[in-house]
Amino acid sequence: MTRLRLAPVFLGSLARRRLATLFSFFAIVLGVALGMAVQAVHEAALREFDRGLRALAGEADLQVVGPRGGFDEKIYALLAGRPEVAEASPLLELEVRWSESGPEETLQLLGIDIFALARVTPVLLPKPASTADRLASLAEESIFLSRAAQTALGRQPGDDIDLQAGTQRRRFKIAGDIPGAADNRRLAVMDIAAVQAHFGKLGRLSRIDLKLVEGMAPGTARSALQAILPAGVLIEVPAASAEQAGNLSRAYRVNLTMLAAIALLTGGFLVFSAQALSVVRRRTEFAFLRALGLARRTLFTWLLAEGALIGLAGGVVGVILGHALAWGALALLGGDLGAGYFSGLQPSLQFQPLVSAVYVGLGLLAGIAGAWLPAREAATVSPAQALKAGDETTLLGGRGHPLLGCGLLATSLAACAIPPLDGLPLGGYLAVACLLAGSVLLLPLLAAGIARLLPARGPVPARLAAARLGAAGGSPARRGTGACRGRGGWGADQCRASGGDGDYGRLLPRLGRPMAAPAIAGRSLSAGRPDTKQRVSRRSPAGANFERTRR
Amino acid sequence: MLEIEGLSRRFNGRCVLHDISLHLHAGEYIAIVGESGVGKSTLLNLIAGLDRPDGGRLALDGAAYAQLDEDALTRLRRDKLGFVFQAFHVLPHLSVRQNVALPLWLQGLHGAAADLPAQQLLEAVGLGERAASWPRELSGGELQRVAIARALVHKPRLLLADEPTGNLDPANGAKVLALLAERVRQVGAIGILVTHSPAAAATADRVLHLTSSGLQA
Ligand SMILES: Nc1ncnc2c1ncn2[C@@H]1O[C@H](COP(=O)(O)OP(=O)(O)OP(=O)(O)O)[C@@H](O)[C@H]1O
Ligand SMILES: [Mg+2]
Repeated sequence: MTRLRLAPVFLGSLARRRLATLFSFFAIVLGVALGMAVQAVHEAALREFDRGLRALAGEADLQVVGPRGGFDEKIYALLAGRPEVAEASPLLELEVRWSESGPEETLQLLGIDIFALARVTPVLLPKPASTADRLASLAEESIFLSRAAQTALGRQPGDDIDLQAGTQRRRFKIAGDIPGAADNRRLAVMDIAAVQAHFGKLGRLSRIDLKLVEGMAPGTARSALQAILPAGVLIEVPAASAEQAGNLSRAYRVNLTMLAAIALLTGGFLVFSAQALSVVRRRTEFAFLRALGLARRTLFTWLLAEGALIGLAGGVVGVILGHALAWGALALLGGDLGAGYFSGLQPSLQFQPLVSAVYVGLGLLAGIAGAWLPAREAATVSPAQALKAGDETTLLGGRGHPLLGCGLLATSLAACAIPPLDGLPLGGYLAVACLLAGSVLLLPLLAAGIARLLPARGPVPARLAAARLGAAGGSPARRGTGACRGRGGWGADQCRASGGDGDYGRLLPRLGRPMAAPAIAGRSLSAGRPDTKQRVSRRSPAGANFERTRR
Repeated sequence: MLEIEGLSRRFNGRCVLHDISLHLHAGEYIAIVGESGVGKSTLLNLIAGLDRPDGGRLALDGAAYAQLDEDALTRLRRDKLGFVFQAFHVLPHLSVRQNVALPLWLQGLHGAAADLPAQQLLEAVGLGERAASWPRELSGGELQRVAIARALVHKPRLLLADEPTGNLDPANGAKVLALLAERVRQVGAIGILVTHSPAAAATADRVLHLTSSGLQA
């Protein structure tokens, strides 16, 4: 409770640094929104992709199956009339035997309704051998054999064939083949009424394939339909196809997931930068609070809470924005974001509470993770040191890590040579990650180098910025904004007068112009005090650090 | 009672404070003067427990600093110490009254329990009517008076002031010093004022000179 009471001290400070806070916030929004959008589009596309693939593979959205003896064909009429069901295809499956010479062969015989089959699982459509036989598929004694079955039985279209199921034995005429049947599947197809009549199965079905209306989730339809079916008759999702769809789209999926991960990582890094900058700028404030008796742990917790708050807000807004983006992307580009994988599909977006919650959680995590290092830094720094101000250079690691940075860049180059593993460009991902990390580590050195190359001419603000760029070590976070820092500078903010004199102290000698001394000592000099002194501090790495003069 | 015995502090092998001893009783208000860089702020940091000495002994009301860990020292500062800095360190995002109430918040007090003492202290430093103002609306002298109110609101045993008038003009500086002396005596705390200026030091009961050879009257 005591901790909560300090809210105005920290949250007020957060609100005062609106720009920096907004910066962190948008970074997280961006990361979460990108991740969320990719995920949502991807899920919608995959759902649709899966459907398409099922149709292609000759599988229905749902299958009704019964006990061994099959079930009453009245169930077909019942299901065909349901609003969830777009098309229903009745099937009667039998195992039939064929023996003429040599060992007995078995064959899967499928009784079909040719018109319903054409609409639900067209891949199983039989093809008459000659165009003259177009109506052969409806003839009672016509049978169609898949290539594999024809080869196994040594028969061709036009031949006769004797088949036996149970005690019933019949002679049929081979009218054509089943082009869509899988290569090694011994399948025979004939009209369902004929199968029922010839093999004593009148009024019985063994399976009904269902195609659902557009946009209907199989899970929802399944539970609704199962409720009206008699005991023993089950409704299921065909198993094989989901896996197949997953394999086909794996590369696509992994790529998009990587993209989302990189977006989130970037968001987390931006929070880190913003938070690191904000901690550096409030260094004196924290030191003062610590002097007043604020415990280390409380300070740490509050800084984490700041990050968490930004992360949470960014996560929520990011998820909303992500859905909007996904909707826009689907409308404009389609489920493959224009890549051409899923052309012809019409994915529809669905809000998924769990996935959304996960992404809000990721935003929260990014906020906390980004705040962690700066918070630890702030909590461990010595208040006596920080109260002096001007020693920010010691924060967050001086000149960066040039060696590690170069090493990472080299690794990145080497990783490009790694061949794809199991179809996945893992080396490529590694290269991207190393490139990112390496560049970040090299940035401080690079910035200092550029600053050194800049001519010491031009307008004063530009020279101040260049000096700042070269003088501030460490965090790349401070590269961009440090130079423009206005508040908290020397005498700029009475409330925190000591906030930034060190900065000016460091950069003025770099300007190497006589203007520096009167500018820094301005107050006391103009007051004409005889004891005004400029002191050269032994602390400064540059060897010259003017401190404010005093009475 | 504040006891300092044989205190020393060195930075990078260079001895800044050497064998400093001092005993102060409740109600004593002293000034320490000395040249720039002689170690006045360093001494105050040691007394505040913000820095650890390299040798010697420090104790406040019988509690030896050496026996206190980081958290205990933090609690000691929270409960027994008040600070006035040259840079006022008034938080810009808190109102004047909230700034004064801050030490009480840190002690876990809230609402009226923090607001009433804060208001009383603000009245005592002549800023009762500015309680709801924001720091940016106050002058430098007024801000330092806010800082004095804040340093005393929780009735500290020890008040430390490091160049409290360093950022003020002479007239305002004199006002603030007089107020500081008056309030410290009123609270009955031990007061230590660090300054360059002999005029400022004269507002204290006793003046000590810090030189490289030690602390002398
Ligand atoms: N953290 C530190 N590291 C190294 N040297 C330090 C450190 N802090 C202080 N010093 C040195 O110790 C000496 C005393 O510093 P201190 O700030 O106590 O001086 P001061 O008497 O308060 O001076 P002023 O009147 O200018 O404030 C100085 O020479 C300073 O350079
Ligand atoms: Mg000092």
